[in-house]
Amino acid sequence: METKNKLMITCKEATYLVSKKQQDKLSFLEKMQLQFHLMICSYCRRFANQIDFITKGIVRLRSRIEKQSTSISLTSAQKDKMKEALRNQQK
Amino acid sequence: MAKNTDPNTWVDAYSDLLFRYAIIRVNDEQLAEDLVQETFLAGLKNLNSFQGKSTELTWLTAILKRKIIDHYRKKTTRKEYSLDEPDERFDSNGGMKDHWVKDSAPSAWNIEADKQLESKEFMQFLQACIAHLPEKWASCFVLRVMEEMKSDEVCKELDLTSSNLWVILHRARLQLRDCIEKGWS
Repeated sequence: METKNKLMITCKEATYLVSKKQQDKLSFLEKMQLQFHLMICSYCRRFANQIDFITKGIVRLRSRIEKQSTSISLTSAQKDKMKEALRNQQK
Repeated sequence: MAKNTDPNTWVDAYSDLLFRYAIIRVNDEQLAEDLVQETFLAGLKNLNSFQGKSTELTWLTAILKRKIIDHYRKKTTRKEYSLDEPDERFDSNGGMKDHWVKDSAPSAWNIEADKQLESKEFMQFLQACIAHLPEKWASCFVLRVMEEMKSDEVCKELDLTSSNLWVILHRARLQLRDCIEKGWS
């Protein structure tokens, strides 16, 4: 029988937990596994920092897109087309 | 006949607001326009469901949101993804199985994080990386990460199990990271 140390996870699993952590709570065991792995793996530490950075970037991107969108509008031709479609539907 | 609403006033009053709502979420002008048009027609068809309890805008926005989700639902993969599938970034066998392959391992980024986040060029690059995600993952990514829908809601709408959703989002993140590492750092 395989007696695998439950605390030892692979880089593949660790990166998955880093990803999951961005939005979901990790279980106690998952937290310990990730912490332990990051202590001994510099690649995954790097990965974790980079993913945190990307998440921050996305938050900023979202508010940027929202701000920009306030200047977007439909042309009057596009609106006329919509009005006409609505009128036709009511006939 | 529903009270307090006149469909002939909708376009002037709400089309720009709905168009903005849509374009942020689908990132495609023509599609956004079509979705707004469909929203108005669906509203007209379902006038009876407008109770006057919410504002017209809230009611129409709810219809539009439904249409956006339906759009993404069509694009979503039905494939079950599992973490066990091989990923070329990680060793497939040997004593280092599932640890980083040297060539794919994250390299140190030569960037100052705070400065990058202020940079317009970086934001555009990040947006392009997101736009290049495979369509089958992008819908999950947009709804969960960009739209901030709750995970269980995304799963329900897209017919996914939660573990499948996590794996798909993880793949999307791996790819985004690769995209930035190759193109920016």
